[in-house]
Amino acid sequence: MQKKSFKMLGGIVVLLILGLIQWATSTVLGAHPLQSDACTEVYTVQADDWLSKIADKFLGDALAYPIIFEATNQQHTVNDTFALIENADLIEVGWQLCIPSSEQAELLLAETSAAPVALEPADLTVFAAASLTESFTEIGQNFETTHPGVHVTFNFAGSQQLAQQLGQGAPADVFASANNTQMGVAIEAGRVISGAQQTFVRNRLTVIYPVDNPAGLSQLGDLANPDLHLILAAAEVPVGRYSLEFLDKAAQAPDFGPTFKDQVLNNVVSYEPNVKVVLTKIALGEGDAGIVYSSDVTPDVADQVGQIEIPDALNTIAAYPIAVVSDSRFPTQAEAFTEYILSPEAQEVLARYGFISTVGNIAATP
Amino acid sequence: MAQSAIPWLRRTQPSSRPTVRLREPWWLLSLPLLLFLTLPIIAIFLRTPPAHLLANLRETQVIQAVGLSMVTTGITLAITVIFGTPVAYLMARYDFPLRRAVDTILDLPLVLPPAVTGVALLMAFGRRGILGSYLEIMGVSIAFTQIAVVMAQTFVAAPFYVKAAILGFSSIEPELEQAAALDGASGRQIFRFITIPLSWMALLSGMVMTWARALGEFGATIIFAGNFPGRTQTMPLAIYIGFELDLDVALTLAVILIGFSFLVLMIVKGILRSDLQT
Repeated sequence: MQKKSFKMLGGIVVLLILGLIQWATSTVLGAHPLQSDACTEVYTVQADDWLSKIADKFLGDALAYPIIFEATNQQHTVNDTFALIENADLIEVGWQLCIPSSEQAELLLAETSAAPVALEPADLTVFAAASLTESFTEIGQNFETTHPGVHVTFNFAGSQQLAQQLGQGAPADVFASANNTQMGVAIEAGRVISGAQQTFVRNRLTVIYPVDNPAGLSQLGDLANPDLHLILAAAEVPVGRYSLEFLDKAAQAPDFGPTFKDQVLNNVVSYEPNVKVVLTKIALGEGDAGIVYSSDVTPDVADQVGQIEIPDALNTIAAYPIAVVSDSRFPTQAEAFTEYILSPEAQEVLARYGFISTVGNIAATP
Repeated sequence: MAQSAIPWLRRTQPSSRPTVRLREPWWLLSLPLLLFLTLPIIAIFLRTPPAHLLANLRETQVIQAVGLSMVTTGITLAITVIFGTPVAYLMARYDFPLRRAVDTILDLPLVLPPAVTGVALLMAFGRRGILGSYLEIMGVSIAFTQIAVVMAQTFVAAPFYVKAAILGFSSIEPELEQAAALDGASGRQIFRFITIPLSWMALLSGMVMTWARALGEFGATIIFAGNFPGRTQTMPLAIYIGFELDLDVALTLAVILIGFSFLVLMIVKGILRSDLQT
C-alpha cells in the first residue's frame, strides 16, 4: 500500500517537472520574438530559387526550409517588407526572406517538431507501395509517438495491387503510390479526389547483382551478355515499367546500340509481382542481376548485393504521390499523417532509405 | 462389389437415399455454407459477359497460360502416378520401421503453406540450393523453367493421389491376392488383374484430386519457377498478375479454370457413380 502511494507521488512529481519544463521553454520562446536582428541575413529571391535550395545554402540542410518559412512569416507580422509565404512550394522572385541565425533555427525547429499533437484516437490504415516498407514502418512508429492514440496499420504491396484493392472498395485512409498512374487508377475509381494527391519523394533505379557476382557484371552493357539470368519486376508494377523505360533510353544511346533492349530482355527469366521479390531473389543468388529502386538497397541487404548505378540520363526518376482516401473514416488523422510524411522529420527518414526528398523543391515562378 | 475405403465413396447406394424435402431441417442448416461456396463463383460468371470472354480467349497471354497449365498438370499427373503408385502399395501392404514418419511426410505438403513449399524448393533445387548448386556446376539450372513448375505442382499435389491410392489398396482383402498367388499368378499379374481393377475408383479419384490441386497451384510456383509468360506463367499466375493490369484477362482465365475444373470433377463423379451402381 505504502509502496503504491510512493509510486503515485513519484508520478505526480515527474508530471510536475515535465509541466514546468514545458512552461519554461514556452516562456523562453515567447520572451524572444524574432526581431529583425534575429535574421542573420535578409535574402531576396532570385529566379530558379526554391525554399529547400535556399535552406541548403544558408543553413546547410535542405530539409530545414520550414525554418525560413516560419521566420519570414513571423517577420512579416512586424515588418511587411518581408514576404508572407502561404505555400512553401511557391515563392516569387523579389521576395524578401528572413534567414534566421542558427540558434533561432534550432529553437524554431524544436518548437515545430517536439510538441505532441492532440488528435482523437484512431486506427489508420495506410496503403503504401512495397518499396516504402522499411521507411514507412519507421516513420509510422515516430508518428505514433508524436500522435498518441493514433495507431497506424500498413498494407504494403505493389502499387497496382493496392490501387485495384481500393477500386474494389478495400477500407483505407491513406494511399501512397509508387507512381502517378496507379494514383490515377484510385482517382478514377473515386477513392481519391483528383488534386488531393501530393508528391512526397522521388526514387531512382539501380542495377543489383548477388555479392559474389556470378556473372561477372562490371558495367551496364554487361546486362546484354548471353546466358545472364536477369530478374525484372512485371511491366504492371511501376518499377517494371521504369526498367523498360531505362532499356528504351539505353537502346537509343550510342554506348549501347539499338539491339541492347532486345538482348537484355532475352535474358529475363522472370517478371516478379513486386520489387521486393526481385531483391530477395537476387540476394539469394537465384538471378545474376535485377533492377530495383535505389531505396530498396537498405542497410540490411547492402552486404548481400552489389550495385551498378544507372546514370541520370538513362534513369527514370519516379515520383511518389500520397493522398487521403476520400471516404476515410478518420479524415483529420489521415490528413495529419500525410502532413507528417511531408514534414522534415519524415523526409529525413525517407532520405536515409535512399529516397530523394522533393518537398519545397518546386522552382519559383518568375 | 468391394466398398471403397474413401469416405465419400463409402456411402449408401444412391437408390437408398430419400429425396430431401424443402422443410427438412438438414436442408435449411446446409444453406449458409452452400450459398457461401456458390456466391463467389456465380459473381465471377456475372462479371464476365460472354462477348468479353470470347474476345479474351484469343489473347496470347490467355492461350499461353491455358496451354502451359494443361501441359504441366498433365506431366505432373503422369509423374505422380508413376512414382506415387509404388509408394502407395508399399504403405498399404507392408509394415516397416518409420512407417508413421513416412505417412506424416506424405501429409506434410497438404498442410504446408505453398509459399513455404516454394522457399523450401529454392533451398533444395535453387542455384544456391543443397542439390541445385551441384546441378548448376553440371550446367543444369532448374529454377525459372517448366521443370520447376512441374516440381512445384508435384510437391503440393502428389500426396492427394498417394493418400487415395493407399486407402484403395488397403480396402482389397489380402486373401484375394493370396488366392490368385495360390492359383499360380505372378506378382505382376496379381497387380495388373486383381489389385488395379479392384482399386481403380480410388486411384481415379486420387488422380483427379492431384490434377485439380496442380491446376490451382500458385504460391510455390511463383516463388520457385518465377513468372514468365509462355514459360512459367500458368493460369493462376496469369490471373494474379492480370488482376493488377487487366481484370478482363484475369476474369476470363478464372471462368475457364472454374468451368474446366467443374466439368472434369462432374465427369469423374459420373463415372464413379455409374460404377457404384453396377
